[in-house]
Amino acid sequence: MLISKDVVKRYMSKVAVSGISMQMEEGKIYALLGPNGSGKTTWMKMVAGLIKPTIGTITYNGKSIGVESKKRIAYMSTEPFFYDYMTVYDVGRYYEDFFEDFDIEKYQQLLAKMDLSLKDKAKNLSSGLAAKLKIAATLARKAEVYLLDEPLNGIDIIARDHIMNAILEVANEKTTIVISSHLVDELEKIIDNAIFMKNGTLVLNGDAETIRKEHQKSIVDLYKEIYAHG
Amino acid sequence: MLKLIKYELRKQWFSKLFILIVMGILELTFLFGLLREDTEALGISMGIMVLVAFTAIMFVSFECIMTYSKDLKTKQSYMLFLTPNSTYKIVGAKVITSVAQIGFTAVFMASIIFINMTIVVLRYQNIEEMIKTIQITMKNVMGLDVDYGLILIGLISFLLEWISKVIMGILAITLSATFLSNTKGKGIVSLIIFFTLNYMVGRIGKLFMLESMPLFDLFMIDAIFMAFVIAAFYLATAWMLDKKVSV
Repeated sequence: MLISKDVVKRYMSKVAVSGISMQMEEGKIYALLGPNGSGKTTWMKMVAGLIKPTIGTITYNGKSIGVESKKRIAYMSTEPFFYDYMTVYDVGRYYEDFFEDFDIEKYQQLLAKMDLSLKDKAKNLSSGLAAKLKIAATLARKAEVYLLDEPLNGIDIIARDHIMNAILEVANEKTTIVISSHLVDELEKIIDNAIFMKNGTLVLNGDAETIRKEHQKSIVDLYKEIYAHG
Repeated sequence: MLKLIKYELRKQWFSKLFILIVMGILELTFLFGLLREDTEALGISMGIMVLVAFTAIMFVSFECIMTYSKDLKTKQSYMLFLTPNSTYKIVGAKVITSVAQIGFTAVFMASIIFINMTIVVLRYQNIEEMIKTIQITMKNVMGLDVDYGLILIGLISFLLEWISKVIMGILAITLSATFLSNTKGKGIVSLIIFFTLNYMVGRIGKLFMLESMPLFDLFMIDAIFMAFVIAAFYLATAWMLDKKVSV
């Protein structure tokens, strides 16, 4: 179980994340929702071990984020991050070298679905193809937790179906999937829980179906309501 | 850690290839001069080789620092910090790679120059006599018994001092990216810290080296002290990243 307890992250005078406390169970898909600057990416990066919280703790299966959690948590950032010299093949080899749960055959299958060639240079890919490469590398891992930050950004409408299917393929009773996206209508179809963030704080967090019943509206409509007034 | 080292070397392979090509061209010029008995070509190629040697060592050193800086300040840092490796392993790989690259470049350059000098000495007896004259003069006038052992330990000491500066630079960059990340003017502050550390290391080092000591012993102590300094700065860098990583 992934537990975030009273997590705060400050940068100089700006508070990116404030008092985030939540638990994420295995076997569920969570939508992490909010506009740009709401703290979603900052929180995800703390879970991935890329930044340290200013205050608070994040634990996975009772242990602090660190070497052991990184073996089990797969993070996909919004930005491209592969080394300039790398080809698509090199990216696969890199992941294979460092992540025991990386499945090279699955990586190649995902590449084929996304029309990516092993010879393509990562830095020369268009934004859409670069996004697909990130997804392929991340979902080719047999991780216990997947943190997908805007996985559908820059992806054409046809490829989105491939990606949503790929996400559903890794979903099982043992995995936790956290997806942040502005394409809330795409997510609504597949999520178990919805987490709404605004200005670094939690606004609403709960079971998606319960939220719909309580508020008498879809997650999409609720999103518009919460964030429409800034 | 070997895998981390492998990828560190891959990031910086192009510059090594470039240096190799330049040295290759110079060596060909040297061999051409040797075959044609063109002492001018010999002299020019040897002179440029020495210049290239120093430049290459400096370039490789700065490249190590710049690569590290890029790794901390760009999104490519994710490639390292998402992997299930401790910061001690990540920084350790960088330090080992830096030491290895700088050391290998220095040894490679020194070996080529030494071999070429030996060839020239064997070929031109008057140069051998000139070198002997220089050695005798240094012994009589400066009290320096210059032999290959002294030159070797002197070079090792110089190399380790240089490497310690590189690791100090890495430490300063880490400080700027971690504990000083929320500080205004962090670049200037970390630069001041770099120069302060440099000064302090120099002062502490002098405590162990007495003027009455033979030159060989001075170089040996300096080399050992610098090895400790490198280890200490590595641990400090890894500790800072472990506590305050923010990429």
